[in-house]
Amino acid sequence: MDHVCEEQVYSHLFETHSKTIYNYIYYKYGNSEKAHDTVQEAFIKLWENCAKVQPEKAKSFLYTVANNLYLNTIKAEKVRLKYADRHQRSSTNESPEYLMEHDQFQEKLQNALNALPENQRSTFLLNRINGKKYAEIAEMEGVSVKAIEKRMHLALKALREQIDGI
Amino acid sequence: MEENYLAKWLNGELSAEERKAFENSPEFALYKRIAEESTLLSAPDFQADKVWEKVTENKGELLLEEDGVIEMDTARTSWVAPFRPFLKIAAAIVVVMGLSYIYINSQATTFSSEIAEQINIALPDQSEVVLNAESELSYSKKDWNESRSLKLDGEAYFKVAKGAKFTVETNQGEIAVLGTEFNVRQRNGLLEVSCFEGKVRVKQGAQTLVLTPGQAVQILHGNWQEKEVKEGDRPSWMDNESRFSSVPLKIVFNELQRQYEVDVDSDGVDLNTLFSGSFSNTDLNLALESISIPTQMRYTRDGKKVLFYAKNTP
Repeated sequence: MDHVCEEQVYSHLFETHSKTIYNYIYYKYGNSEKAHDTVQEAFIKLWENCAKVQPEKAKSFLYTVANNLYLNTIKAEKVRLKYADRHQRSSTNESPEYLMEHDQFQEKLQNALNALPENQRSTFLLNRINGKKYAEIAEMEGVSVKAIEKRMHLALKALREQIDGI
Repeated sequence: MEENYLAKWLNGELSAEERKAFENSPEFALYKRIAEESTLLSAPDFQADKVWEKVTENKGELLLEEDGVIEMDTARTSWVAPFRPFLKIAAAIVVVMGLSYIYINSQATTFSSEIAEQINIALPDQSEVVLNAESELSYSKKDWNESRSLKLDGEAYFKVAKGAKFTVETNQGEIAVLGTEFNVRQRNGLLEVSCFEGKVRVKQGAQTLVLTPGQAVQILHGNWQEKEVKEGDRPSWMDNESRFSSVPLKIVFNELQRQYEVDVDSDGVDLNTLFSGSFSNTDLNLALESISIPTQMRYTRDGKKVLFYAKNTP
């Protein structure tokens, strides 16, 4: 039977989940260094408990540990996201006016994202940036899919209102 | 409007009627823009290797403690004695296994990945290979000790253990290295090699080039172009993202078909247009947007069929 203490199972868990846990914590608290530490701690805890945790429970174990590590200890900081890094354009055929308006929009969007409650921000960004399904996010957060839909709805509504200047 | 209709809209779950009503609302344009632009953001890079290193260090310490305990357990003497009658049978089994091992080793060992699949391979010398979707790798176990040589059709990432020359042959050229980490992408007339560690020599016909870490080369129809490696310490496809730097759209579309089981078609699109950017290998809708937005194309999707068309096509 597969066992978390087995090197291959364990490193596979790391490959599969480490980056998403990092993103998840970063979107919530905006501190890249602490998000790295959290991933590290969560995986060390998993190794310490590898005999007790079944492989199919490892994911929720990791998220629970990552969440608990952060609870009560950290104040959220400003989340800084990179833009357009993933989409370099080889030929730019947009006008300078368009590009300037575009930058302003991005700034507004970032400010509006920072004004969201942590849970809404992480849910919204995991879905938009990382393409996580509502069901996957629900599993990470230990809540229902319905609750995630509510967060997505409220997040998008709040972003729109903030950007619109309401 | 239905409860949480914005979430349902993002997920493509609104009924046609509701969708129409929503699209006609004055707020729709801004909602759409937020939904689109937010996909272009990203968090600061995750240093997976550094974290893994620290985790492994900690694990090592924990392991040592456990080993200490095991040693005490096995310190008792002469555990073989009760098994002596079985030793002959055991020896025979070893001989049979040894013969089949020799037989198996004389065959070429081949690995091939399906669409949307990645395979991790450990080579006899502890070198590691990760094979991207729809690719094939083969080598001879028997000759491995004399020459570390492999054949590749497709795309793979190599982490080579130190030792003698290590060669990757493709039908478009040959890559030779000492201990190092590098990626080879050989698809539809394109050969792209990125060096992450050590030194890599790329050879096509009579022409050769030595790459050092952070350097990459792209050879498209015999045309060599030196580039920078943009993705940090391992190729982005290993993090489920396909990245391209000035690559014709047709190769991008081919990769999309490889990562998802879809048929891509285009109408009024110049397939030689160069594309720079990346797409997700796990979320098709997001991937389609990542390709269509920067290239100013539109697309329609019907189940497993995707059609890209130029924005100004009626």
